[in-house]
Amino acid sequence: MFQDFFARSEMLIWPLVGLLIFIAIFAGMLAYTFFGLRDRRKIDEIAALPLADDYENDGQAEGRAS
Amino acid sequence: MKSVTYDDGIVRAFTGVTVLWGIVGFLVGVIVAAQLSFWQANFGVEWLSFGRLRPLHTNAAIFAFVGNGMFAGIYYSTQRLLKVRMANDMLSWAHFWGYQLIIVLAAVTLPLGLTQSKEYAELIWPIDLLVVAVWVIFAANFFWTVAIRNEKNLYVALWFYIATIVTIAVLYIVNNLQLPTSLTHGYSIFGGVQDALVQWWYGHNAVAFFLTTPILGLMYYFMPKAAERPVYSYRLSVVHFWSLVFIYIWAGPHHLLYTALPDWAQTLGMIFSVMLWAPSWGGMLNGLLTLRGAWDKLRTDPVIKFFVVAVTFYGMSTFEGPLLSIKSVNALGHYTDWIIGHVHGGTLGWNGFMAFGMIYWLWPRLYGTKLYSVRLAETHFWLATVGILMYVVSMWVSGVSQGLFWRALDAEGFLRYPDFVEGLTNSRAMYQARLAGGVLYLGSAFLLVWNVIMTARRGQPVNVTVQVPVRAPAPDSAGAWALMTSAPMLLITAIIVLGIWFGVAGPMVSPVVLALLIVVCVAGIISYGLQKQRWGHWYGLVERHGFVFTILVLLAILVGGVVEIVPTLVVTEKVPAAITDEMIAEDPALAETAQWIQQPYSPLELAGRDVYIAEGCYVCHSQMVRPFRHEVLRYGEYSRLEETIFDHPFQWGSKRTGLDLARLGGKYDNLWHYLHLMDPRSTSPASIMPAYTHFKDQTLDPTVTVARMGALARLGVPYADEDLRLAVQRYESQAQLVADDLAAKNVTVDPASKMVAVIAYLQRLGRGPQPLAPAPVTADAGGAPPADVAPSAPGAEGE
Repeated sequence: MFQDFFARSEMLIWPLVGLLIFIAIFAGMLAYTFFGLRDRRKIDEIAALPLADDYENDGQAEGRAS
Repeated sequence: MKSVTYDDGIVRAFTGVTVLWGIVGFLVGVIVAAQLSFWQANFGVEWLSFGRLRPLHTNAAIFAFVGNGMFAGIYYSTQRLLKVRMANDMLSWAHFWGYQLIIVLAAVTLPLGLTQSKEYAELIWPIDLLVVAVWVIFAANFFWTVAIRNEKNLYVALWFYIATIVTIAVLYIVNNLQLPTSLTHGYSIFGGVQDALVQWWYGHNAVAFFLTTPILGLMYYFMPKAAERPVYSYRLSVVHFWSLVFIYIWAGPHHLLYTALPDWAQTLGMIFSVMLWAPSWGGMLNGLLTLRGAWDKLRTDPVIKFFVVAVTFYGMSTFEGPLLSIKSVNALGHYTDWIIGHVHGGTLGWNGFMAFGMIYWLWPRLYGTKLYSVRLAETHFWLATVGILMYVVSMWVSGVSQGLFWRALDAEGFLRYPDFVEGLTNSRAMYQARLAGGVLYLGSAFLLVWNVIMTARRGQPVNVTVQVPVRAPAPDSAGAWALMTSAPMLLITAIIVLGIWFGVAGPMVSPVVLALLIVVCVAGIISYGLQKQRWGHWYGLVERHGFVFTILVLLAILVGGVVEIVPTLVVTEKVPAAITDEMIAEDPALAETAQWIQQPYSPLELAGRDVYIAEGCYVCHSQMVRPFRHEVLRYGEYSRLEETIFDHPFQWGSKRTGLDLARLGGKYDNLWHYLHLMDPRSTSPASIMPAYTHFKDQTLDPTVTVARMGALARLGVPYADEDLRLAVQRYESQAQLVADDLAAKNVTVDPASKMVAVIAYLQRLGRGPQPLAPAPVTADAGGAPPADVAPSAPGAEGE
């Protein structure tokens, strides 16, 4: 019964469909990464966001206590 | 410019409890490790037994230690990356106290045996509801903060946080869907193979989206901070994020290789697990290469030391995971200590070291001072490193040895080592090495505690105030709809619709649809891919729109889950609750299914099963014989999908510290089970199983079981009205049978005791319905059929 279901079920096309969707969107993401992200200055600006915040690099808080 | 004061009080609170719960989680881990080395460490106390404490250990380590550390890092980094204070302080503190309440409730209920028995989802339904409420509070506060931000771009760390929030919500709700039977008990709405697939879809992705994506977000924030330089490649981080989010969700079935899960789902899980290698190692390299030009800090800065080892463990774990997902490797490693070594490398090595590094970096800044003692932090690092290496290496050795031991055949093709416990005895030295490693790791964490306390005493709590640019017009409210209906979004929608059409179309139409799909993809690439500025501009807009971004993440994680789970859910509609001779006459293929299809448990067996679940027996005993010669020789016929279709929840297990129990029924008599449960050493001298003497003294109320049978009937288990009406009578008569049998062997047991119920359940495993009342005395007693066999559903026995 189960074997029969899984051997013949048309639902088993769904993993393939999912795979197609995955590949299509992943390809789009790669295209964006390599063609869209060409503005080096822009990328550097975003990448530096963690370093652009408030204060210290030496273990001493420079912000004031509130 | 305007002034913004960050809420660092909430960060201090979450960081503090991270340290506290870390100690608790590691301590319980050391206790359970001791119990596996010395069974006496169970102390004969039921709520200290391994089966109850092990879920407490995993929950404490994952949700209390890593969870609180994750929240600390998210609250700290989110405010700074968005240049805004958390949207609502009350929500932040409701999140904090609600989460701590959940942890306390878990710490009380799990040792009491109140559990669902689903790994990493053991909490009972009222606590599950609280988890959902607290998660919604956290999500609302987070997305509200995103909406009012003063920074237009969402840094990649925030993407990982969004993926965590969205995916954990979906996973947790679906896997914990259950039908309550009382305030402290409920049955999963899924049964058997469905439950197994949903559980490991959750279980694997709890690792992915609770222990990996948020920690990667922390890595992308705190490693650049510690190294004082930006992430090595922002482009790589984009690819890392989307490929990880897409692929991870498919990999759950690798926990069920060679089980009764349909083969196509196993293969799919294996393929996607192997695919995970690429994004995982891409992320690891991105983290390590962030230190380019800053490697000299490795000598002097304990924070960098912790981060480097953490990311190295991430690389090691994400190499080992796909390796273990390859079916031939999994055949050796599954159910062994290798898996235990793997998960500890991830949790204590990757997550733990990231948390420690983050705390050493964060804590002095939260108190406006320097770290109390760098030397103590260095000592913590080295002790913890040696500890986790001892742990992981000993489990590798033990696990591979167990796998080889179990499968060894002699020249005639029979088991070379038929005594399972012999293998356990061989692992004892490795178990002791593991215990020593755990003690080192725990001991080193006390150095962190001391450093944290003394650093806090040296400084004062600081809430940082900064000047930030006045925010541009609200990015989330402007243009979100236009973005949702933009050409790239329509292209993605078209791909999904055509993909679905391809799935439902007949054999004549589907090739045409596939061709159309390819044409659309190519047209999309030509239209947008070649006009590079458009692609970049469009995705740049998506990055700034939290709502649209979240929708895309949701789509990414739902695709994999839906295509794996839906076919398995639908299959039950094809399975009749009972197969009659008439049905077999119409369709002879049903004869095979009828031979294996599960018959519901009797009331007494069901009560015994609930005790089995409450005691956490599944943490050491599987109920799934894989289709290997050595397993069939050791345990009996391999397990079929049909055999556990009505098990709510499934009990296939994931580890064999003890034997598989799928075919246990009838192998030993009731007296053997009684003696084994009272003192496992009396029947198996080298056993490390705790004694369950309380089974003899504690009694069960049959009316509770009747209510539970009613709940199971609502979930599709074929209990007829008559089964429910006669349940108490059948319960008592079958219990009397077991008690009488023991009495005949000079053992007096209360028929209402847990002992009798558990023995009845164990005797049922792998077999069909058992006698519920004494057979009537006839001239030929040996050939007499049982007077009453319940439930009344027809069908042959399972063996």
